[in-house]
Amino acid sequence: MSWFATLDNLAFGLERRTKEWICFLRYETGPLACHPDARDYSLPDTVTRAARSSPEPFVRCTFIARPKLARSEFVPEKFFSSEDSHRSGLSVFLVPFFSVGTVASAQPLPCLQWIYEDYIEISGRSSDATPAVHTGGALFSDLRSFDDVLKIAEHSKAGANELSISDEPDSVTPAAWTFNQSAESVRKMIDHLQSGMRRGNYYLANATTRVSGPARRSGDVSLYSFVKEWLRSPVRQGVFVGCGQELPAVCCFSPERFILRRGAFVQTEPIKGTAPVLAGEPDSGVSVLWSSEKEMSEQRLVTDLLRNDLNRVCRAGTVTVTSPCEVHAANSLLQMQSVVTGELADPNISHARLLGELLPAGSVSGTPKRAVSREISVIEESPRGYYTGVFACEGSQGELDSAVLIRGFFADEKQWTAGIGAGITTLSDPDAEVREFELKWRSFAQRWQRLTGVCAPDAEQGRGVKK
Amino acid sequence: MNSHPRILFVDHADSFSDNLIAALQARGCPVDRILSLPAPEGENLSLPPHIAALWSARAYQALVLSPGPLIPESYPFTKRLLDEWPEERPVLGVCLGHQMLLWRDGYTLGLVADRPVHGRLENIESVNPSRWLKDFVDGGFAAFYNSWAVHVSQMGSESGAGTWRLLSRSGDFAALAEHKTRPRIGVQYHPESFSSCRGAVLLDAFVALMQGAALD
Repeated sequence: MSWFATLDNLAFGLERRTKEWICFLRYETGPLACHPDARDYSLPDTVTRAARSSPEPFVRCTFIARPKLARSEFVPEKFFSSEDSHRSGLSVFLVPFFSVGTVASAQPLPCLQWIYEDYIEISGRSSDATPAVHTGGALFSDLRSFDDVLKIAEHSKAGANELSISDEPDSVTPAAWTFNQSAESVRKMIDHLQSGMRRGNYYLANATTRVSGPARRSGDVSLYSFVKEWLRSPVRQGVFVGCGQELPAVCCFSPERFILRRGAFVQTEPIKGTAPVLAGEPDSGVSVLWSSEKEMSEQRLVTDLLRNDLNRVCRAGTVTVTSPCEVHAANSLLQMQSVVTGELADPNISHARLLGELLPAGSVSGTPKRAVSREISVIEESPRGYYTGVFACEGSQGELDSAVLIRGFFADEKQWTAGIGAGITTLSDPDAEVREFELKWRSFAQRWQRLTGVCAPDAEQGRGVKK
Repeated sequence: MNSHPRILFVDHADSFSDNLIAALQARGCPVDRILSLPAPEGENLSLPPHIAALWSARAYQALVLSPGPLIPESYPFTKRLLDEWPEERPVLGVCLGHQMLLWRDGYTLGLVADRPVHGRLENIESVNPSRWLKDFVDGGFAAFYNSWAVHVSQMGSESGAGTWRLLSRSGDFAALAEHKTRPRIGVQYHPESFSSCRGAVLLDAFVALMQGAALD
């Protein structure tokens, strides 16, 4: 991790240049184990071949400064159908969860598109001495190489060690996070979904609930504290949007890529199924996953679902599961994912249109997508907002990478919230799922404490869920 | 003989319809899709003008009924289309589509399990050779995404009274079946799933059926 250490110092140094940031962090590991059914298949331009070719993690960090809000629409259909009118910069998209085939709710959240020119991209293997650096814009014209980046980081280091995480530690009162729904109410929602499944109305439904947090203040979560927290134990994708108080804020630690698009090729990596790793026996979890009917059938389902989404935009016959059910190590867990790749029918389709065709993300809605999305909008007690939405970022090479926004903290102008969810199938045990919600929250809530340097006593004592 | 038989695809708003359509298009078949929804929306649906024109001109060589939620009774528009479909032309029903074809011909559906697992892989056992799918023998593993199916006890023996012949089974339920006198195929599993071993071969055989049966 030779240059990782410089990244949080760099973030501190960058924050001195401006307070308006979007940051996209990616940590990719090759698979721990490939399923015996995996094919030896390579497309001419396999988008993540570089990342997968070695067991060492491949990291990409994109710091975007002072992006300009280009478009916001309240109605997703209008947002995705209008043409991209700009071509002078790169695009970033923030899209809320929206229901297919239903009328927009009373106060829909906008789909947002920013255009940016000032950025730094750093990428390479965690052990590279000199990772690749791309920069753009006036703000970073002095950065040409990793040595230049190191100079900024070194320069900031002294300052970083002295300053505490929160700008105003004394004035921030301890925050109380509370679940919006009682355990009983969550249980009822799951029961409702399962009875629909037994009748064959749908097969998989992602049920979520909300946790309400403290009032939003300026500088609650800084770029520096976000990057520091992500580096502590990197997840697949980190998303930070902190561009000004009137705009939404996002601090997300997502395990799931949505799509990766480069030129005519698009790839998606649905994840489903986690298993704990037995200490000293990393392979034990692999056979547990591959021999579990529940895990394999859910993986099969999301893989066929994502194949279907890609088939909406790809040339017939090109959508392929290049690697089904591969297992990745993610901190102390094993996670199963498939890799599905296809060739776009229209290689010139804009990023926005492509997103519009594929959203909402299959893994956070369900199957059949239309029926389940409608059901979700009816039975969930509060709108999801940007939770389970998507963040998509165009990179310096013109590729589009994107993350499903789960495991994150979200704020509107007034308040922070978080979401917790689970994929419900006929095999789910409702009581276990409700307990899982609480466990997931409790473990995730610790990130908030570190992001803000604030202790949240209610969450800590487990009084989160209202009884 | 028409090597590119045109297909009318009835989509029950399923999340696997595009997989099936792509699989048919990749085999050289032009596919037109129409949406069939449950009542009340489904009651008043009709073919869009450009498709209605092709329908009247008998331009569709085959009808394909997609998987979907709910049960056959839920889709009045599909039933109307089937009522008007020329008897001598092929039909393929997948999952719900399969259930639709058998239900119309008097078979009843039962729940496959108390808590059906969607996305389960099951072993397919071949039972009878097919009259319509030349040289096709079912087998291997296939992906099932269903709660309902037709119990094999209803399919009877080859000379039984029922109008459908059982081609293969998974456990006690019909996996693949065909009409005895009309080129109608029903498959309960998902041949277009990446996990269905012989799914691609089944689709090849259905396309060959369409090509051979094409008239005009």
